[in-house]
Amino acid sequence: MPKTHPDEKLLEKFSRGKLSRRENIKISWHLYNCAACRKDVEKLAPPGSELVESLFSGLQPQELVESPTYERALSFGQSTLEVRGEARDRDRSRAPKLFAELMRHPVSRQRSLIERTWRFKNYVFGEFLLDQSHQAVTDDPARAEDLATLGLVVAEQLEGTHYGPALVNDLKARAWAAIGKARTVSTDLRSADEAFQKADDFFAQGTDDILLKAWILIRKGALRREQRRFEEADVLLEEALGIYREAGEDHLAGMALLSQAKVEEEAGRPEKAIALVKDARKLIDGEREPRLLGCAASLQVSCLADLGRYDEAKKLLPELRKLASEAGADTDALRNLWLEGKVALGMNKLEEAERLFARMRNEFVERGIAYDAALASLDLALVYAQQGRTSEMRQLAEEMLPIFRSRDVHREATAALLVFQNAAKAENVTLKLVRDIAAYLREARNNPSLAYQQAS
Amino acid sequence: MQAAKHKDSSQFRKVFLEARDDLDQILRRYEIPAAEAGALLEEAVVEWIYKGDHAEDPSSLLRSKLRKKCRRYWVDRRRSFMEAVERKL
Repeated sequence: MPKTHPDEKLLEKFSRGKLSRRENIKISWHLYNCAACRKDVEKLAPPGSELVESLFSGLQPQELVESPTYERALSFGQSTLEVRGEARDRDRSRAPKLFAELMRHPVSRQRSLIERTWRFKNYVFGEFLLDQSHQAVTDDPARAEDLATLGLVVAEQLEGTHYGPALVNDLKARAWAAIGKARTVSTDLRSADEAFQKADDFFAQGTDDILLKAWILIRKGALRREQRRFEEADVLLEEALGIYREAGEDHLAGMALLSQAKVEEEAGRPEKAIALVKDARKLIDGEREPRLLGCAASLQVSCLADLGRYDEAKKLLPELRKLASEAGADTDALRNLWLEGKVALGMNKLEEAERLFARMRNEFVERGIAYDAALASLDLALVYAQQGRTSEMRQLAEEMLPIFRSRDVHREATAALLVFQNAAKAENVTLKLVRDIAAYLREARNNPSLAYQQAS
Repeated sequence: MQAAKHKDSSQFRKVFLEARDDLDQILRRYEIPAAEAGALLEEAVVEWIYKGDHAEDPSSLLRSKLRKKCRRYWVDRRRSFMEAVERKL
């Protein structure tokens, strides 16, 4: 029951409709919450007017009692916890088996299977699919997007169930952010942006889970980095870092620092990137996410090489190999070869650099990753150019173009490679030309409209 | 999100029992009608068990979830009241 009540005079004026609009609302709100005053008003109102009933039609006024007892509610909360907690534990232990079952079916059937089968329709399984998407995203973004989409399907199936709309919206937000991340890695940046817009919309209708917010911010930051909107990326990542620090989530704070370091590297500030990587490595928990430590070490080596600090970079190479092998990440090991080649080239160990770049190039061609194969070929061309090996250069150029024309290399990039091929034919390739084309390809990777302009 | 160690439901049960008095206080402070309190607690508990794995202090998360539910209860109640009364006045 409210602690103070309007006096009888005021209630009488109210019942006769003699109060201002503001006073009317104030008294009505009181009546809505106070059964005793509602009774008084009914007595004061003109006979047959049924003032209260007509005022609150469609609403259920409540009696606020002075010392309510919540014993029943607390017991209900406890029994909810028992029932739902056990269901959650059960769903958790079943999720890997269910996942294996789902994956036995072709992708085209997986969606309808989730829609038709009750055992797939639980929150934990939706989260499990999104965890799998997270693990797949670096090596196979297309599969990561499929998995995240399945997570979204699970979330959609949970609408109107006992999970409540806020929790379901959290799952949808997470699924859209995972889709956005997969599209970012696939360099489908416009659709990635759309996915993050949906993630933000669902997050706004969710449980206000601050860690989920940071999780989305980190992924959105990566998108902004790929879009070369470095300042925006930094703002998003800084916010995520603050959330993780405040929540005492050291490992995740390390991940945010590492993302910031990548932004600095892409923005051409390798020294700043190195400082951030060093801080990140102190926080990252290698047991929780072994691959992340490898990413940190590889970024550090790359930045040191960019700064020409090849001796320091070389010292880190054994650790880099060890971390990649411990994480069992095949693609990371492959990309590390590139770094090793870069360091070898910087230290003028041309034979070693040639061996590494050639291996890289062949691996990328074999896997159909044409753009990276183009970049590895140009690194190999740098070695040939330094040694004046014009015939190998010509052969390399002849082999390059057909592959790139048939794969995912955009028109402007192919045009740049054509410039290289013509120069190789004319035995006119210089170190500067190779470096210019490689720098252009790196910048144009996510910007297909960027035209290559040959320096005079 | 990269999963931290999962907590099983017995850990949640222990935290809930320890926080019971605090939960009672929160409901009292927000003057939640007894008939509505069960539904609010149910929502808070369900969100808590699916989000609590990531929380460093699960007890504080449960209390904060219930506080949010209580605040939301009054916002919704006031809104539906205003909509109904605006039509009448």
